[in-house]
Amino acid sequence: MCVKQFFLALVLCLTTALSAQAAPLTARQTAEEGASRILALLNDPAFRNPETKMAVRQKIEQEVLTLFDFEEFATRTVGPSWRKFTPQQKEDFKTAFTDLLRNTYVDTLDSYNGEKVEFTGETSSNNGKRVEVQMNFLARQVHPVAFRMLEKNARWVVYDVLIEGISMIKNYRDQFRDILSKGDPQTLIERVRAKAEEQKNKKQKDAEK
Amino acid sequence: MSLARLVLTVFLLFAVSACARQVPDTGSEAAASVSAPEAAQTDALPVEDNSLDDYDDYSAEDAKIADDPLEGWNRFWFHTNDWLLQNIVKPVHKGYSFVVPAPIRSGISTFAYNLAFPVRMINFLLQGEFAQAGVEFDRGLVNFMVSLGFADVASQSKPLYEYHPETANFDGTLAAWGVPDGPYFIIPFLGPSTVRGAAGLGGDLFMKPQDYMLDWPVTVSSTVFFAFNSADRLYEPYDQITESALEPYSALRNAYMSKRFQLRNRL
Repeated sequence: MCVKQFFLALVLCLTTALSAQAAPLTARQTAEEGASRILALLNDPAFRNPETKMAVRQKIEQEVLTLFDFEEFATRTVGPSWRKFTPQQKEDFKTAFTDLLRNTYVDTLDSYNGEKVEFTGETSSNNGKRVEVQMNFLARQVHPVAFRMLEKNARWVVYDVLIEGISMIKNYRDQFRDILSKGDPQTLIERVRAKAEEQKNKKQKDAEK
Repeated sequence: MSLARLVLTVFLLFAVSACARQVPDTGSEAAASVSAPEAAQTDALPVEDNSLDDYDDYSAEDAKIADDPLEGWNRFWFHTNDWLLQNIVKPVHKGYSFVVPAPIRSGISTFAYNLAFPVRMINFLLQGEFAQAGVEFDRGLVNFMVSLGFADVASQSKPLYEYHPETANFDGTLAAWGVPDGPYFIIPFLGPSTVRGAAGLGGDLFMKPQDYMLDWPVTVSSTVFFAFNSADRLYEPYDQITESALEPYSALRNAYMSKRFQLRNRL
């Protein structure tokens, strides 16, 4: 009897454990997990050590690339004009834009000073295909941040970031629309590359100061 | 002499507001029955129940945010304002903030904010937001009594009503009266706004009681000084938006109009 009960308990435990493992994470869980992994790396003393810093930074970049879908970023910032891009131009643009984002934002990681992130809520679209996960970035002031997420290959990824309610994708899109109205896709790619380079040099100059 | 004037101004402000105090008391029930806050929303665009719909990437709101019929004027003033900001205001303000420490600058800016409380109160009254006008009066009173207006003590207490001073300006009043927002419009020497926003700012200039008591050189120079004193609060976000942008003009327009729509949708 006792043995039977034990087996029953064991089987139950195993099934719940297995089903928990198999159930894909919700959008909010994905965002929370991603954010906590990135914050853990930022809080890692190795990140403050100049010798091991680059290795940690690479790990952070890897986490960022898992959580954020740069392909979605790229296509959405261009908008409907994306169809006019040749496959080569699409590739070039994605690389250039990813570089731009990296050069613009990655160095801001250095100014991280133990700030915490508090998840506050989520809104789902009518058909459930998109979810906005809201959080507060607790610095000297509270900054509301939101991730807009969609499901891709059975995994939730971030396709837009809202800082203080301003959509990053839409902000870039308005700029790119301006450039595309005067020039062709190639012009846009060149401009994005030039800006990525400029941001990189600016960061280096700031570092030298 | 100037100190005496200041004290007189503060005193008169109280007197003026004390008279106005009668209105919120009698009007609060009326305000509840006509539900004035709803009137303030009339100018908002029809917002879909769920702003996260599949095609929200290209909503009517996005089109409105990018709509810019006055682009020629706006671009000219964007570049002019940008040049003035980077070459005159910023260097001078850097020197100023080196000499005047942050706590004093912040005290001055709070004082300027508190000094403008009659403007906010009048606008709330014009919008039929009597409860908000009452909160505004009480906050002004507490702040001047406790700190002569150099601190915002009142913000430490929980208000009885949800307090939203963001709309306590003539722009908000015009919105409550159903005046449409009009297109994006950059105000010369000041920065991004809309046509209604610019008109509202003009209206607010006539609502400061102290301006009717003091000579115009005093009022003009104090207005300019108060604006300059907290210029860093303006150019820090401005730099964040424009420095990382490929097209600073469109980036600023998008950021400004997004914030404006956000405020409008929230209320």
